Amino acid sequence: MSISAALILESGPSDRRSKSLLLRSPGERKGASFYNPDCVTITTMEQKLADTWDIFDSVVYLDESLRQEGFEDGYKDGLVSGKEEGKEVGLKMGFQVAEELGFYQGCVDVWNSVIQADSGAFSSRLQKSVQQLGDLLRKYPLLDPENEQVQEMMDAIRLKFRILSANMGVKLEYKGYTKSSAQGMEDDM
Amino acid sequence: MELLDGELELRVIQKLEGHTDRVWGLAWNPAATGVTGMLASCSGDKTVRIWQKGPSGSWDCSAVLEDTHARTVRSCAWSPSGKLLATASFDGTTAVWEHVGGEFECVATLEGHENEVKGVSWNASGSLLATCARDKTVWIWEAQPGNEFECVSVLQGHTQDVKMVQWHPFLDVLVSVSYDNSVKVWTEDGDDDWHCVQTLGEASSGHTSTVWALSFNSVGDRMVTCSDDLTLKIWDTSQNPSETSGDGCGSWSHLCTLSGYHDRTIFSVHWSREGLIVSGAADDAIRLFTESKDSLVDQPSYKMLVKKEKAHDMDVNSVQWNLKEPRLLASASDDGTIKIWELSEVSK
Repeated sequence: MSISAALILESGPSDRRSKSLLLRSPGERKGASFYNPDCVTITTMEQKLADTWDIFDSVVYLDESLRQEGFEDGYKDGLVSGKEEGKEVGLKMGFQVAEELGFYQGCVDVWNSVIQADSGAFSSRLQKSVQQLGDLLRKYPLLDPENEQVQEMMDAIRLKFRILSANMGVKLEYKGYTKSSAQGMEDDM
Repeated sequence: MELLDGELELRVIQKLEGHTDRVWGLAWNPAATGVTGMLASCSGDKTVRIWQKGPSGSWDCSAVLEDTHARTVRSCAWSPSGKLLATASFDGTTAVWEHVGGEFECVATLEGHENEVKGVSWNASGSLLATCARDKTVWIWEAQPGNEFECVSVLQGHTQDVKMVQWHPFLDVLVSVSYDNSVKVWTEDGDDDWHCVQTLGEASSGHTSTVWALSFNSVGDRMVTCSDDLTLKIWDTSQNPSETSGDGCGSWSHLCTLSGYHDRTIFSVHWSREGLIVSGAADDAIRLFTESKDSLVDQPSYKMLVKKEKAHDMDVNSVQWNLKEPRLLASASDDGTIKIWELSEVSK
């Protein structure tokens, strides 16, 4: 029997309404039993309506609780795989940064050895640049990846290296370094 | 200048043909001795051509500088002595050519920019060379003995493509103009430390679109800039920015704006020794401007003297006054040609 049919069947004196309302305890609502057509004739309009909500509750709440359950499961799993992924990305990034810095440090070490062996090998400006690049590399916060200045410092190191290799007349480039912009079109002005 | 009293016109003396692609830049050799006229032109055909006035009075191509640049040669500049020619290319390099006994030899290649080099300029003494590029940086190179060039500093500050660099006519003050709509002024603090001392942007009555070129007058107390915003702007540059103190004195300021004359992008501007400003624009026309003395207001103002419509078949990319013959002008265009013009009074 449908709910609308139950409502149509409803009848009875008006004074019973308040009584039946008084008889209802708050606990009853949650624990509402499944709809029983036999009870229809003896229940009031209000109780019927309340029972009707109870019926929907289970459906509505089922939806909600399943969603919540799914969310919790997803969150838990996401936390695990996210951590794993983050670790991987972190490792990869850390490796890249360290490799690039190591490349520059290697160059600086060789150039410094050259300067020690023959102080006239490079111009004073070049020697100063080698020293400045060395300083920049030393200052790079390797163990503080969340330092907001890392990108700025890396840019400064790359620029100093560019100037150095330009002045040495050598074509040295860290192989992992990606140029900031692709080649322009011929029509570019 | 009494010449300016009569009605003036620009008359074509000669059309120089030879480049097989658009011509981007021009530079007159400033050397005081020797031939009266030597013009360098650079092009999208990857070459630089040298044009000289022959005994017959006509201009001929005397040399083609090729096989060095792999892409468009965007601009060129002679050293003050006229012995060296620097050429900036989209291949990311700047080449320096030496003029020895009628021959040109590439004596140095400056590599450092990450991509297309757009402009090149020598300082007054010829000891420093500035280059600018699409990589948003300006590099300053110092000439060393034996045609070696060492990078002194890399200037970062522009947020876009830098279109042109130009040194002040006698101070070691560098000016750069950019696609970021600004004009930047750079000086050295000593010890290779170059800094931007002033930015002439929209807030300082500057341009509202790409600034393409700039030029100083002969005494260096005024500068003109041209832009995609269809205006020319004149700046007071009489103060030495190297002596700028904290209170802002010594800085350059906007004098006036010439608007309403152009309706397409202005690519090139050049100030003659006699005070005439020439502009070359995307509307294929060449215009001449001069300061108007009869202005009633105290502020300087400039008026248009001559407008040469259809000076070329396509965009005029560069206009350059001859440095010795004050009424001689060269223009370069997307149509692949160069034209030599003479400014004269209209014969009645």
